[in-house]
Amino acid sequence: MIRLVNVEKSYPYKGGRTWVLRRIGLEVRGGEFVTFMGPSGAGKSTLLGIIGLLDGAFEGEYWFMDEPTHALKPKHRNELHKAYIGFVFQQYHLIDDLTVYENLEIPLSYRDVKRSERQALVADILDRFSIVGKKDLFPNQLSGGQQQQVAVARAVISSPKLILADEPTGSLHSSQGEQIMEMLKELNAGGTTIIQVTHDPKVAAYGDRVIDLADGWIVDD
Amino acid sequence: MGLAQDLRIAFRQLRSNPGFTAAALLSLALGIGATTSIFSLGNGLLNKRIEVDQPEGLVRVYRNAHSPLPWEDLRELRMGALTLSGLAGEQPIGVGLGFGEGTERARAALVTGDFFTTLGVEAAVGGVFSYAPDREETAPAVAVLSHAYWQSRFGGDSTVVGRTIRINDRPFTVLGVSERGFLSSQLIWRPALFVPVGQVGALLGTTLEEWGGTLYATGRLAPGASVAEANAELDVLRARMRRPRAAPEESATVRVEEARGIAAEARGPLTAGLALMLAMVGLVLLIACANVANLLLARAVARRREIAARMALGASRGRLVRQLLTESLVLAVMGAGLGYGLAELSTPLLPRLLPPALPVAFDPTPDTTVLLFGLAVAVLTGLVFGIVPAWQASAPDLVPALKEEQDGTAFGSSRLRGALVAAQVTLCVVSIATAGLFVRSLANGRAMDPGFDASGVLDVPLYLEAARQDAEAGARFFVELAARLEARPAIRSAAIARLVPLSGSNSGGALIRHGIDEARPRDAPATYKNEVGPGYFEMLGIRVLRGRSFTREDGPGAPPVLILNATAAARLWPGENPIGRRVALDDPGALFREVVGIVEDTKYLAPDEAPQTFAYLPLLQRYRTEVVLHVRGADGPASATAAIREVLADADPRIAVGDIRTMAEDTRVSLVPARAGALLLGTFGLLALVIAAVGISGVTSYVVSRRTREIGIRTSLGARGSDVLRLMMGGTLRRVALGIAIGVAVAIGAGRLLSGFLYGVSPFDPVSTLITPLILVAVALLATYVPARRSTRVDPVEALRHE
Repeated sequence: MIRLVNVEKSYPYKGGRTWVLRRIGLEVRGGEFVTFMGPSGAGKSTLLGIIGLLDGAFEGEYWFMDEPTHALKPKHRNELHKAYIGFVFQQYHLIDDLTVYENLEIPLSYRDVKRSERQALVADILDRFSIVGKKDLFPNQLSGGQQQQVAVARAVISSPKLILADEPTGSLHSSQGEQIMEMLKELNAGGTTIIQVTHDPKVAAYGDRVIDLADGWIVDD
Repeated sequence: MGLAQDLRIAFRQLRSNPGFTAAALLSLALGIGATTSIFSLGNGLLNKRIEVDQPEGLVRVYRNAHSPLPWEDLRELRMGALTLSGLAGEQPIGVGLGFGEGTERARAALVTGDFFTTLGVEAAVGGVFSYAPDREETAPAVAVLSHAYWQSRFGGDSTVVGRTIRINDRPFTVLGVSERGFLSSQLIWRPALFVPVGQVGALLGTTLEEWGGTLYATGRLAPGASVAEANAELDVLRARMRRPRAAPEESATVRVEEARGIAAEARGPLTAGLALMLAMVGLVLLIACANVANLLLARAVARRREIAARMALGASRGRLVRQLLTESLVLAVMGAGLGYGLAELSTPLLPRLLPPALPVAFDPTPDTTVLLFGLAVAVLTGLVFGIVPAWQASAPDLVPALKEEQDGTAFGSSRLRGALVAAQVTLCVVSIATAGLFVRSLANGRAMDPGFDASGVLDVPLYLEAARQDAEAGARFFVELAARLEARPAIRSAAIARLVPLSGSNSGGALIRHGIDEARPRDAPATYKNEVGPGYFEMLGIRVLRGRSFTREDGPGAPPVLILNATAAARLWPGENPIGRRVALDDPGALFREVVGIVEDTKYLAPDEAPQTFAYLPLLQRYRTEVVLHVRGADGPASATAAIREVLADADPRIAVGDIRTMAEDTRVSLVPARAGALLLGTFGLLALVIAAVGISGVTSYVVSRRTREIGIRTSLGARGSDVLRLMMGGTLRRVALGIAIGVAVAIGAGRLLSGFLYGVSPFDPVSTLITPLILVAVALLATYVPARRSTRVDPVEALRHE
């Protein structure tokens, strides 16, 4: 599903360059549950952003679903991203002015799904995640765990083949974190590929494979 | 889903950010409100149709570019035109109205028999007159009162219909009252009553044939006819008229146009003034747009996380721009709604800019056209202030935004915000400096020496139509009146004149020198003129440089004489003595008059005019029914006024007396455009200042809130309150300084362009170069200090926890 060949990213700084990723090469097969680990500044989130097609400014090759994303125009990358990828963030990133229902609906509207179909999909996901009673609440009316639950629901509503989770339990206490990780494990069992970033070894243990990064390099896989 | 969802989000965003919403709406309401008000003024004067049931199809017919039609032309055109189903005429005249005891002055309108039917005006009470074009000469002695006059003078009493009134001492029967809302065929006139033009003989002592007057013509297109077809037909008809031309140079063209706005002859100077005002309100609107754009940029940085999340969820850039622009447009439409409300409140005040004595009225209140204009401005404004922030905001560096780190777009947006602050200040400096120049100009105009002494002089308009004097009786009356007045202890001197200098009225003609210009009258020099009585120059302190002034002996039957000013003498007979020379005024067939005196130059039309040719004719030899009595009191205006009224009532109660004003007030009419400019531009300048202050304050407030953590760090490292204050204010004030520097340069340029409108004001006037920058600095200091002061109270511990 994913193949990175010699991917590098840097920023200009005082006449030279600051490197964030150095010669990253890896492959991820469909259905895997991969964890990126490493200290702060290792480049984990940057790598996640590139894999998630949110960042096209890099050197090297990135093949996703056999598509050469490094050679695609931003519009095509966006199409690819919409078709296959879902995101879960540490800070949940629910949209404050939208209700739970509307937050779940947003990814579908960006994918031009018809209204009747959107209604059906949202109803289904509310039921699946047992949050029907919260559909008219705003994010600031939910606890951290509930917000992350909604965020995970939002990430899966468009049935992505790949979910990227950046510190999904970072803002939660342990029992809430376990709940979220069980959800991700369940999704993975259903065939969804998951790549997560975490500092926490207990969270990493939910995955099948750990890739360590340090100073922009892959030091262990 | 898209648009409905975007609208829902827009309203929620505005509700959840009341401070931002209030600042943005205030800026937009003021900017769009001012623009809409001036557009409404222009619409009322240049575009509005006549207030009748079916104004479509009404056209105006002019001789040449914008002159009224001679009566004979109108009569022939309406009988021959097939493209017009009616062609009516109207001409205002002053009359003396009597309802029993005494006579009062009023404006009437001489109208043709088909006036009301052509315009489609009906009677509110009683009836209106209507008769065929070939029956004008035998038109009955009837009058139709205007609805407004009927309400104000008779309190809406319907028993006035059928009553006999005296107009210029002739009996007329009140036939009815015109319908409510109708004023005149010429948009801003407000005659008190309408009288058949066939009665001109009774009113002015002449026959319709001999009258030689003109009428402002309004016609109605025949079904299926167009303005172009009417133009072509009337032009042909006019060319075919076999009427002797009064002067060889008279043009034979007729022009037809849609009946909108004021008459064509008044449009030129008005359009120039309106264009200036629209430019000024355009500046105010731009400042408002820059304000709101700045606020949106600041909001966009605060919404970075949300926007990055949306893009991470699949939103394309175009989709995001559409959402953000929808929010801008909602803001703009709401601001326009408030602005329209402000315009509705402020436009009724605009007619007060005109002197109350002017017999004109116009309705600048906003109508559908203005509403549509307001909406168009709202949409354009929303796009202007919304597009750049939307475009900027929709391109965040996603990963740092999602991690809530600083990124380059925030820095770029900061440069843009600074540029917007500088731009606002520049526009503000130009607005205020321009307004200040007009205020100075007005003050200069008022202080300019007119060349005559108007202090303590009262102007008494007299209307003698009802007295029905011939030239000899009239001359005797003027002489006796002056003598009676000067016999009163409260009055020092009195003199009669046709026109008041600098009052906006003027009259002129060609000066045909005997033995020089007769062969080529077209090349004869032109001059302005006035007709004055004995004692005029002495009373106003105008020195006689050579020869003599007019005396009582310069009456009917005496040798025709005239007096010239010094400039006229120097130009007509350079280096020679003009006393005894002979000139004719107006046209070659007129009387040659002997030059008996030369007086010093004064100002005649504008306070700052260059010396110009002027001629004085003796009023005793040129009897007029509308004159001004200049009276210099001995003890003050109150006692003089009382004496004047007593003497006039005793002399002839049929004479109508107009509003008594000081000559100083009358001579300020020439300053009406300067006064209107100073008032309106001053208001716009103030608006610009308020909007800019709101913007600068908003930006500083935003900077403080975004740098709270940094303030906490600096404070914990030893920074004092004054250090923090300097830091918060410094960036904004630097942009303000840049804006002021550019604004002063532009204001000097604007001053040069506007110098033709200004009295005695240099583009380098201290208003532009000194006072305006000082005002901006003071306002900017206050606008930055108030929000920046918050930064000195930041608790470093709280601030270091701040995200």
